[in-house]
Amino acid sequence: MRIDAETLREADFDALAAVGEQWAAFAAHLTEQVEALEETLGGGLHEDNWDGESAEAARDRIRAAVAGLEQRIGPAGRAAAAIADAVEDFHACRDELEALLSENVDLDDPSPEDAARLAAVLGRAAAVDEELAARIGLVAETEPVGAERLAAADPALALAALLDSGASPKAVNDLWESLSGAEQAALIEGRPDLVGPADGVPADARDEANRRRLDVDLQNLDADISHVEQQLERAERNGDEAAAETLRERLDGLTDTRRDLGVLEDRVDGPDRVTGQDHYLLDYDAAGDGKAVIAIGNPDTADNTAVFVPGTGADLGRGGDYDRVAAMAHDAHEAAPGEDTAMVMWLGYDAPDHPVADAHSLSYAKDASGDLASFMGGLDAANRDGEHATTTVVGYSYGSTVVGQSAKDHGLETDQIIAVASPGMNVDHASDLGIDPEDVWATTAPGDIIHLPGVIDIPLPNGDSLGLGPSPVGEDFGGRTFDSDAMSWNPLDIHTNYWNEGNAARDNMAFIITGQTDRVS
Amino acid sequence: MPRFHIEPDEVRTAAASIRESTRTLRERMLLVSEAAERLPDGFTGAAAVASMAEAWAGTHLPAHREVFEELAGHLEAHAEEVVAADERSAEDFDAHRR
Repeated sequence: MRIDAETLREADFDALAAVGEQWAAFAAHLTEQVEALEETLGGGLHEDNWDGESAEAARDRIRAAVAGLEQRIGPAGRAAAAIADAVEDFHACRDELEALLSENVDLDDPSPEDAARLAAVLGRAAAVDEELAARIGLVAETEPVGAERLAAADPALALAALLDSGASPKAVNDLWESLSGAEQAALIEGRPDLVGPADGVPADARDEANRRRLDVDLQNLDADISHVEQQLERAERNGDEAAAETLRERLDGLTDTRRDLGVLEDRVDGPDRVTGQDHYLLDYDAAGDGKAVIAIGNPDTADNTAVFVPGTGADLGRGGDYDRVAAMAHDAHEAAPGEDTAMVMWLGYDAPDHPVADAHSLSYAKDASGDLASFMGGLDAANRDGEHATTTVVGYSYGSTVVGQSAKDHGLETDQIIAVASPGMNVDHASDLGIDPEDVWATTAPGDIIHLPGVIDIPLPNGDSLGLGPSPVGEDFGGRTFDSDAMSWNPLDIHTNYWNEGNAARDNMAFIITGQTDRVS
Repeated sequence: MPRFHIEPDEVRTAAASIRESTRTLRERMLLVSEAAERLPDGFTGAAAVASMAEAWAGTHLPAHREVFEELAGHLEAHAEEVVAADERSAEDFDAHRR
């Protein structure tokens, strides 16, 4: 719409500003209501206080109401912001117009030069007006409140609700595939925190979402580090040693996390140097020891996919387990050059820190078992050729205990299992792992510390032992075994040598993973 | 068997709070609408702002009220259920004593 000088001069932009302030107040009020309802859910109506179907139904209704309110907060806030921006720009245009008029410009018969200046000011005002209309148009079209309609209309709400409900990766994949390309792209951009870790979402979408998360996390960490450094400098200048000590500890923590995430960023940067396969960042979490799920090659399109579950001491900052995965990717590429084999490092759990002190505890495996099963279910759901692709889970050391626990408790969507240097899988027999025992493989090199008496199997007075179950290389276990070399006299070194160059274990794993089991020795 | 460690009044309070929220939101929306009535003429953007206020007052708020009234009603019904369950337990206890 064209705006003339008189309209611009006379307009009451304070009235427009007042509407913006009311929208901001409305958004704030919605936020308060959300907080009040969430407090109700977390307090009096929490499941600890009120149990049963009726209670759960009531809580579901409140959650839906919260989702409805939250759906309104964004548009109301964005309307307020759009109006505030426009008011500022309109005022600037009017100031320019007043400056022109103060030079005694004749509005009815301006000189060519003044006419051009006038047209420029009025043109800018019209552009501000159009932008305001466009920004309001974007938020005004939002669907009215209504829980079911909201879920149907908003993919982010639908995905969040599905994940909250503990739905299967297959259900997550069904939802994802029901979305249009534009909706998927909007979800990746707008809610990478939902998409990145969601088992069942295809690997390429998870990768894009997680890289966005990582970019933002790194930027935030840099800002936090800079802020804490300034605070520390101030505390030291003021001689406040107690505050300085606290800040130093905080700075150390932030710096460690920044370093670990920087390493992660470098790892997934560019294709693998040997196979040329792309990296996929399927999940990560910087909290605690850190978690990371990285694939070399796309597991959704690969002919073969192997998932490596590391053992004790695994954490985000250590590169050894990623190196093992890369070695397996290279070995598989060499063993079956005509096939596409994706290799995944699943450091999706909090691994025991110490190989002897912590490794006899089943608690780590039990905590991890559901997440590993969900991840494998997600790979299965997202695989574009699930009937022909071969999947193998490789558990190393305590990682094999996680694999066994997961298969026992939840069932693992996998064709084959390999246990390397296993302290026990907490199952009595290969058939307890839910797949054909002929597809269960295990190896332990001669002299590996894992089977020295008393290291993992803690003897009890009644003759039993506090262990993790029978060794999968034992004859009674019922699986198949393959060779591996010690490559050292030191039992601890032997335990870590399985991926050394020239160890027979490497070729054997590559043959199993690529379906060439007749070549296994 | 449902398990209750909650007083019916807590559920009733939550229901009342939810009913109250529909009133306060309506009041807030009214302030937006009133301010929008004074918007300047001759601007497309201002017209869009007025239109948004009208749409939210006419459509979104009634829909919100409907959802919240229904929610409050359900919570009140749940509160009655808690009371009934308590009474049944008390009767069972008395019968057992007799």
